Amino acid sequence: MTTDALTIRGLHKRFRSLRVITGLDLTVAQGERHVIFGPNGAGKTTLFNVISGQIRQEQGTIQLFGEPLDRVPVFRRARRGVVRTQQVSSVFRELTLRENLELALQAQTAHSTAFLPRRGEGTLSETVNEVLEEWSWGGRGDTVVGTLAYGEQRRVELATALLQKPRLLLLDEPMAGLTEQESDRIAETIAALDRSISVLLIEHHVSIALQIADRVSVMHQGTMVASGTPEQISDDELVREVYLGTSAGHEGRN
Amino acid sequence: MTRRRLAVVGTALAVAAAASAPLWLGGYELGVLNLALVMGLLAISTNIVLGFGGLVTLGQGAFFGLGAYTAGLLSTYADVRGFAAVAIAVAVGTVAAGLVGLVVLRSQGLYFMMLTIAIAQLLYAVAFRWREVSGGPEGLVGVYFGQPGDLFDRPEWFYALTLVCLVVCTVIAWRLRHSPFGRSLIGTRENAGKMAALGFDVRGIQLRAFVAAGAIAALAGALFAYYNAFLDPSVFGIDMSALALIMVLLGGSGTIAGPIIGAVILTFLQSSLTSVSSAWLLILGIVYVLVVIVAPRGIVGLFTRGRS
Repeated sequence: MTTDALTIRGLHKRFRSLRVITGLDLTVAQGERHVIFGPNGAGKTTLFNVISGQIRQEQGTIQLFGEPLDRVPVFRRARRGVVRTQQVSSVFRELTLRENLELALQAQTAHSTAFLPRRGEGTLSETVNEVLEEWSWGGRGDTVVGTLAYGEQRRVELATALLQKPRLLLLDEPMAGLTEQESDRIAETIAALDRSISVLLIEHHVSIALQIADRVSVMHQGTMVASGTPEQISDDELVREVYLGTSAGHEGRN
Repeated sequence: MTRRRLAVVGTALAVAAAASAPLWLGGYELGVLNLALVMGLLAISTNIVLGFGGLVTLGQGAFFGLGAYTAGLLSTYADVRGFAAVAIAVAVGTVAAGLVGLVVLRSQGLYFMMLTIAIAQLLYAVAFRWREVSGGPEGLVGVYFGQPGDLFDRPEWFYALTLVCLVVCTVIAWRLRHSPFGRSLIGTRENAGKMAALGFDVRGIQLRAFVAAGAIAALAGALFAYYNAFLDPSVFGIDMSALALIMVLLGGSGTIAGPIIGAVILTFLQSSLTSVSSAWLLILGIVYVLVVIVAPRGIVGLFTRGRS
């Protein structure tokens, strides 16, 4: 039996009296594309914050490939392969495209914060050039990222996330605020990801998400109310009631 | 002329002018320039924390003062002088910055700034009260780098020593800025959350910048004590830290030349104004307001478009 990529048991998180996550269980198998649906305020982003370590849960355990993640700070989780993108794109807006990619690559090297130049700085800039070409940013390396269109900034964030060699990739509404064309482009990138990467995806864009997903969980009031294959979930009455029924009409606009 | 060539030519001219200054400047002016270079070191120190790291500090006076008092105490009590004394002062500043950094870097923004002020004020109080050792408010008199009659007892040689220190520290700051470490430090300034998400130990990066800055501030403090041949608790004062901060902002925060330019301008302004009026602090305030309005990115920022 292979170990699951992510195992969450009995998770609780509250902000003062507001219970945001209430006894949540979740399992993401290795290489699985797992989509989380849920209405606004269901606690999806909070769940991501807890998994990536930005906030700490009151109760419950989180395991990454069988190893506990509790009390591990954000940057160490990142080094272990827990990589996330934010709901609102998180990039170095004042730095150039090249510098954004350099920092992401630099984080992977052993001497990531060395004072003296190391061997490997040369290959770093070569790798950056390759990445620029790969994402069709050739010739735009010196563009300040904050001046790029929002859709491009999302791609920058996704590119830096993938450079981190993720084992578990947490994508928080990667298509929010994008045009249909841009969304399709992101969806293609996600669909083409290597199966060594397990993906947990929050997405309101139901039709696209269902195409990508191997498994779907529906979150409501801080816990998973249903989990299954895309087919099972689309047919589930309860799910329609809490989520699909209320948002199916908005789908096109999201 | 390209920006790069402008920078190279400007640097060459500035170094040549500074190196030949003893030949064409009068004794008084050379003294003021010497003080400006000492303050330039403190400004470089502040710039590493503020300009590169994005951490607003009003407490570099703590390490400046520790360097000054280390040099002063060694000179007056133990008769330890010269390069050994400077090395000890720098070591004290480095260790102190490491310990202080561990505490103050746990907080951010305004709280970080308040803590840096608090640490400097604490040391000020110790220097003020601990009369038996520090000399209290009267301070320490007779702080010398060399023995009387030595080479560095002569103003032009002490000036040369200060200039060498400034050049070395500028190269260090430049090297630091363009190293992998510097890139990661800029990253923490721009988006600390993203840096952590990328797997960088943000606090570790900030701590190392803080330590490097502490070492340079202590060097500045030791030279300041020797320059005056005297020191009192004001070296720890908030006005010392604030002056360094305004020098950085005036010259150009986050740039290499900016802190030195700011230090030279403000030191000469201060020395020419205090002799004619007591309104120096008022003038300093006006300078600060003007910088914020006219040149928010400092003097260097006026010549470089877009970004640092």
